Amino acid sequence: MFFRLVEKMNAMRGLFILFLFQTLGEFGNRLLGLPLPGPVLGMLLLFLALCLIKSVPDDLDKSSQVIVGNMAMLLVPVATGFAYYLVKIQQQILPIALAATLGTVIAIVFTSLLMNSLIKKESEDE
Amino acid sequence: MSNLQELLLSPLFSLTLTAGSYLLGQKIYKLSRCFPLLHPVLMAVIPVIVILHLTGLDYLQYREGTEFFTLLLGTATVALAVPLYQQLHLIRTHARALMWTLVLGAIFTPAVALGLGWISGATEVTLLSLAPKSVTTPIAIAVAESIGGLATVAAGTVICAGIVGAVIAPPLMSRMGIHNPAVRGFTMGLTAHAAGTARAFEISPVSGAFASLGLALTGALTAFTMPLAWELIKLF
Repeated sequence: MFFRLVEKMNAMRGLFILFLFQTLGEFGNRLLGLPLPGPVLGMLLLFLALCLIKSVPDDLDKSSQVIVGNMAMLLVPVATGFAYYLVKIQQQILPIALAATLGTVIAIVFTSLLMNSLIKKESEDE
Repeated sequence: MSNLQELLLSPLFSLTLTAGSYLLGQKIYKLSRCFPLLHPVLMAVIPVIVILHLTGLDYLQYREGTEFFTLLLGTATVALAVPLYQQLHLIRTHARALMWTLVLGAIFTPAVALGLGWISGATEVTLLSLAPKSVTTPIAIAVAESIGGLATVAAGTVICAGIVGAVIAPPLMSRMGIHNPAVRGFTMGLTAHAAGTARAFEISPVSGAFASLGLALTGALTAFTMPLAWELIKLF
């Protein structure tokens, strides 16, 4: 009876797995005093668990897609805070804008050139 | 009147405001045919600020009311383990090139952000918030907070970097003569996380898959190395 109930509510089961690993991550973060943030530790533990069972349970796959796909909504409060922050501390706008624009362009040039030349070298070696 | 005030201060109001504003932002974004500069998060900030202004709620009260979404952001971080696991098989195609690009790219990108911030007068708090600028937002927030940066600045910078990358990366790489879809995708995932990955999927499924891999690997690597590296730096 209980299992049938759980089977029907599979979206909740996926969410339960995510919450469980998030809790484990926070537990590890506090217990072990690691400088790694709780959610990151939770991600590592879940990744290791997936490597062990060698597949992604359907419920977990669905719930992950829903929460990752709608992550942007969860960012609205911090993005609002960013707008308030910029208005308040205007002398930091320049460094932030430079890092986000020029910094990203430089990173794109570096990364794409590096990987492109590595792959070319790889195919020449073969 | 005080009843109304109570409702404004309850999480229900803040959460409804956030969800509604986001749906509006998404609508504008879709109407503009996914024009990256009209990113749904940026569009959603406008109605939130307007309504906060009209109701007299301040940001901290709003932030407290949306605490539940902050918690779910952590859940989203945990959920990133799934795409990481699913895209991992792609590594085999260009194992060595991908690993070198990942490691060097994940060091170079924050180094450039820090360098640019440093020369233009960033404070230490800003620098610590800029460091994780190319990784997916929930990880960037977690990393920035753990090393002493600000979640808001980290999130804002990451979102802006993602938008810049999504707009500029495809034409820039074309002009540089880089046409390999694996390189184009991985670069966009590594430097422009979710926005770049979404754009890469629009260009081709292969690019999109490599972008997801780039996003997941860069996020995971930065999440583990940056807090530890900062602990080491602080020792000296």
